[in-house]
Amino acid sequence: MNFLKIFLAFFICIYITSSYPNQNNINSEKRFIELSSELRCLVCQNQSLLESDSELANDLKEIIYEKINEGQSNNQIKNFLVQRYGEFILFKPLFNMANLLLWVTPLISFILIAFIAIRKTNYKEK
Amino acid sequence: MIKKEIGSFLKYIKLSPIILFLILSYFLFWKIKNIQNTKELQSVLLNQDLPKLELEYVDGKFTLNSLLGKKPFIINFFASWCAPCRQEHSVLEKYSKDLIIIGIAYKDDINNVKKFLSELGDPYDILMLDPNGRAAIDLGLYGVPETYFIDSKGKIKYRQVGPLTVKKLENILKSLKVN
Amino acid sequence: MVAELGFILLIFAFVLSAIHLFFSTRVCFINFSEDNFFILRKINFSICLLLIASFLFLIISYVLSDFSVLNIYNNSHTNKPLLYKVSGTWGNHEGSLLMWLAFLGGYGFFLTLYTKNNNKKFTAKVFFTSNIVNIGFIGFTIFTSNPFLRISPIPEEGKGLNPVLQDPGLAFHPPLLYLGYVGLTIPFAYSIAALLEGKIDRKWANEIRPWILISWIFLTLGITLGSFWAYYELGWGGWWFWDPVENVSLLPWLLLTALLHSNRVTEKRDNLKSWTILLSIIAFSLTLLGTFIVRSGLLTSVHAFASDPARGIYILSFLFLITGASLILYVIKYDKIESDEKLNLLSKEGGLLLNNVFLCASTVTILLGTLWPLFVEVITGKDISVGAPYFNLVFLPIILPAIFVSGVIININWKRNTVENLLKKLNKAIIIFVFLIGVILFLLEGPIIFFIGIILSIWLLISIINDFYEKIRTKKSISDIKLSKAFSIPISTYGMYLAHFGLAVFILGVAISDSKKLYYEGVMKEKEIVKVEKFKIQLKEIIEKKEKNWISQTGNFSVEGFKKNISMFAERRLYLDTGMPSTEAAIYRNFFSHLYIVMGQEQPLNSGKRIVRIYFNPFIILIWSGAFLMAFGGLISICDKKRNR
Repeated sequence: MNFLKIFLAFFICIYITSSYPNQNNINSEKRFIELSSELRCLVCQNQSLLESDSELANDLKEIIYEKINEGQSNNQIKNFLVQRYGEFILFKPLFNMANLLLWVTPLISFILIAFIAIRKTNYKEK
Repeated sequence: MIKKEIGSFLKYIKLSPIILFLILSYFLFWKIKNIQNTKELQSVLLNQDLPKLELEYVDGKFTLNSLLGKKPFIINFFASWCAPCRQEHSVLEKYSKDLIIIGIAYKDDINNVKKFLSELGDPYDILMLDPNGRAAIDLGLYGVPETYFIDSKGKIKYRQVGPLTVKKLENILKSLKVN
Repeated sequence: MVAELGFILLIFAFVLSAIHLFFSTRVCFINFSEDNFFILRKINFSICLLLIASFLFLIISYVLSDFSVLNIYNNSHTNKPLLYKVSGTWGNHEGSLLMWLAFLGGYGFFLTLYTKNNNKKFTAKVFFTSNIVNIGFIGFTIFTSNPFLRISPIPEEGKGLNPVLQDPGLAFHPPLLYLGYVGLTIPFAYSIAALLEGKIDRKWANEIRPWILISWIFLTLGITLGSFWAYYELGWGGWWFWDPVENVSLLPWLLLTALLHSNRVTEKRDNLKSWTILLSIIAFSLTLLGTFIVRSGLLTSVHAFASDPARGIYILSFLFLITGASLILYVIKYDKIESDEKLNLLSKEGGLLLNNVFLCASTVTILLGTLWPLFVEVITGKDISVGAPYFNLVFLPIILPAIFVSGVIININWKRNTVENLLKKLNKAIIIFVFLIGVILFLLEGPIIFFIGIILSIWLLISIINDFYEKIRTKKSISDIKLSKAFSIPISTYGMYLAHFGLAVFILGVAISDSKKLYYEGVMKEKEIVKVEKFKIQLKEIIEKKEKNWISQTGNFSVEGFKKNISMFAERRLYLDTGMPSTEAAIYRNFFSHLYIVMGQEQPLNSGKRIVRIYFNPFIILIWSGAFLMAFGGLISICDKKRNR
């Protein structure tokens, strides 16, 4: 019983800590690298803007850099690009109703499989 | 009582792999059947109003504002340094009388553009410059040549990435008329 | 002539497989006789040898540069060194399928060889199943992707091999990966046979264990090599990109790892039978799914195979039939094979089950993430992407607890345990662990994920040492060690230790290299100097070179910052036969760390300006060496002779 609770707590802890990168104190250079690595280079195959040298990628990176220096937030910049290039540009899909299943599956699949597995054990009998 | 119900339900858990597999197969079969139709690049700006573009006006018969929302027209991004644009140019020349074509020179120098047009002919009713490529990004451009078809209400109806051919252009015009 | 011979052998193999199917159906389900079983074995041997021979004939045609064969014309060139002529055989869709067939033949050969004295009725069913897989793949090759097609007129020269594939890494990456994929056929065949038979016991689990291990070892090595190849050939500075094709190779690996552990429970405790069966069915299906995704061009990826919907439909139908039938069989026989005996959660088997949960959940997650863009497209028609940031975010929280649990499982006993006993066994380990955590937190700094990685790695290491120590010490006192006891520990346990030690090394490598890496990107001209933390890097000059099949520009960088000053050469090649460029990153190794420089092309032309990317990847070598140790641990486990009780 306790055994399981500890694991669950551990699991949730990691889940939370890793899903909130500390975005407050990083300078614009780091923000730029992080942001452009989360965006797709549209004319390449599965490369991020950061890694790409294509003309379009360079232009977009320039725009991102300017907007960061103008003080825009990551979300503002992403919105700007999504309006023009669609959600396809985001390597990290938006957290919305359409993508809900995508985001909850890790947790749900874990809980379901754990539930099935627990039935194989004498967990209830104790 | 409830426990029993759960117990009888759990008997069917062994069915879950096959059910999930069937769902997955449905999607895969759908996709493989439609793979040809979906290969065309789509644009989020489709059926949207043409955004305001910051461009340098070079010359032309009229201005963009006088056209917008009144007549259908075509916006063609090109550059004198781009090889496929040269091929495409002859197609545009052919249709320059029937269609209103706006040429936007992408990241180009005005002198080079003028040389390019005097060499290959000028199919454009309006010629404009996008020196740093920013207006292009507002339209979601991938690269030159790229062509946008705007209807008489000022909405973007079609986007062609890469050079146009006579056949492609005819097909596009036909499909736009149907709609 | 050689090519025709190869094709004829392939057709023979197909005809023989069809006969085998007819015959084995009779043997398995209508009337069994020993004579018939031995005939089946002979047919099996013939099919296997035909498949291998057919592949050898293709290789010979490649070495001879016979451009009258379309496949060779498309993928080879006379100016290639011999190694790439040979490796070009499997650097394309058709050839790699024939290699797949040859491996099916190879595995089938050994399977037939080693099952001579096994239960014949059961073995006939294994042959039956593996033969169905053979038919599917031979048919696929003959009808949709024949590598022996001729063209006329005969061209003078071939088109050449894709330059990124001209590399020793590629020569070995696909064969190893395929050996892993194809190896899964045998656990699958065993599972189906067991379902048909309606009986699974410890002996069954013991018999399939070496096959699972072999497949696991090859898959581990294949993925590792692929990752290393991508690291130095693509020039993106990273070792894993969550590319769809990478994902579909990781999926079977994760399930295979789960299978390895659940099979251990079946072998030792005669339990989790339906689970083991299900895992081997799905792991096999995932390799088919992976092939389908890669070969049909469904998802955009770096691995560009010529995509053809006809192939996609064939392999998808094959996947549908074989997996569908297996899963239905599974549902029918489920109650017959599963034992009612419950496991104790606080025991090795309970822990292994828990780890299985983590591994399976992560498989589901990655599978869903990889296919999500497809689902969204089917439902809403929108294009979206799911890439590295998503996978990093969701994969780590599921897999990290599994690593923590591993450490506990190594120390826990089979059957029954109490919390007190476990704590008593682990108390020294925990004290040392807590002490080390304190030291690390005090000495190092970095993001949370960096600490989690290091702590998990240390935990795993300590648990292995603790278990070993507990095994060799006498009951009398804590410090009394009897080294002679070390010899009585089964070899497979040492294999297990090494594999988990490899995992610890791997995690350490990931944690350090990912959190402590340096990155610089900028435009450089000749003679220019940049400073990246402690490094001072100058682009000294650009050397132009012309080789037999490429021209290149090489940037000569001089680097200050290591103990001595060094020169590094980052190259850009343009291959003359295909006209395609390729990047050769400059990599300098300093102990376990890499300094990695990539030079871009001149942009704009004749300006002398180039984009230069500089990465410093500390301890990155631990990643691949850790994975290699894992595979080596698996190898040691196979060598355990005592296993065959």
